[in-house]
Amino acid sequence: MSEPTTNRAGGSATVVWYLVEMTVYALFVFAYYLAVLHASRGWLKELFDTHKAIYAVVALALIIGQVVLLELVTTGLFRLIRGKFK
Amino acid sequence: MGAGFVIGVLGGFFGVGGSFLAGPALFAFGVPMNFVVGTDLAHIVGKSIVAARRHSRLGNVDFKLGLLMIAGTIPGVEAGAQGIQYLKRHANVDQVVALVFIFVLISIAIFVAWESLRTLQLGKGARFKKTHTVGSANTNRGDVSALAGVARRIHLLQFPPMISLPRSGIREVSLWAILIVAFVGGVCSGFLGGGAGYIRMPAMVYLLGVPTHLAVGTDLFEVIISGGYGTLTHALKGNVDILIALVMQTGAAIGAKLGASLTTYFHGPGIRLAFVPLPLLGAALLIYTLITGHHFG
Repeated sequence: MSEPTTNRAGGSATVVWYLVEMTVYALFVFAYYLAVLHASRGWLKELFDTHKAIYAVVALALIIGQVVLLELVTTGLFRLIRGKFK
Repeated sequence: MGAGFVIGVLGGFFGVGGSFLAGPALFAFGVPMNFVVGTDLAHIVGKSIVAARRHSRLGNVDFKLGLLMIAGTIPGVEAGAQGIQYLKRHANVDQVVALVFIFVLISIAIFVAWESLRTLQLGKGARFKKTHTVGSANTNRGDVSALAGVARRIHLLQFPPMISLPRSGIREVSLWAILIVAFVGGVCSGFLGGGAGYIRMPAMVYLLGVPTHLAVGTDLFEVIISGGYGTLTHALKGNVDILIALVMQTGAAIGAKLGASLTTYFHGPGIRLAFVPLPLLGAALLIYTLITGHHFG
């Protein structure tokens, strides 16, 4: 009789973990944007005007870095936290 | 950022980069059309990687089909980008691209609405399901479509080399059919921006006979290639504003994760029917901006 209750509790714990992970990921993504905006606005404009080839590579790297790198960081971080909880 | 978030959820759900909304929205905010195309391509790359990884874990990506399509997609993207360069030199790029965009969006919305409604109306009987299933009817990867006969006729065309796609439940299809679908998608991507999932996803379902769930995931995999190449070639031509792309992606990256999870709860014709209002909304935004000349930014 207690099995469905255990499953339900396990299910809601998973949803909570998912939501917390999403929130942390969202904060990382937002912080990344602010960091890029603050650190490299003038530099990017200069690259755009003078070195289009470097600008193209940097643009692609910044875009991929924002999601891929931060997702890896978030996933790794939560794997560590989950491990400690267990 | 709110628009980026909404576009990200929609992109993850429908297997499209969201350019049918992002492109018109950027144009309505006063961004010139050549920057709309290049920037939109840049913002979908990262988000498509997130969504495609998620779809891959759900088993929704046919990697063999995706890799074969690259050979058609990259020349298509370059052809589209060269078209933008030509218009920048010789004509009014804003008006020409906007008009082509409106035509494509309205055509797709009408076509998908007609097909989905017809499938939902006819799709009650077991006999219909047996004769109108794309992909494998014997597994849960199969998907009912009123136009399954078109895909079956294309499968019968014997233009070698013939390719087998077991993951999509396709026993044999000409490589040329795959390359043509990929090339057309690539041209739309390079010329109109985004990953052109609005044309590639329906083409994979209706012409190649790929089940909708697999078409969504495989299209996202393809968008990584077309978006990545398109970003590089458009950035070299001075058509990418990376800071606009990053702010859009900030919302979209999170939305794409949510959207991919939502596909678990919806199925073939339902997903396709829900897609219909979105291209129409994008077309309405473009028509309004072209007629009034009013920009929101």
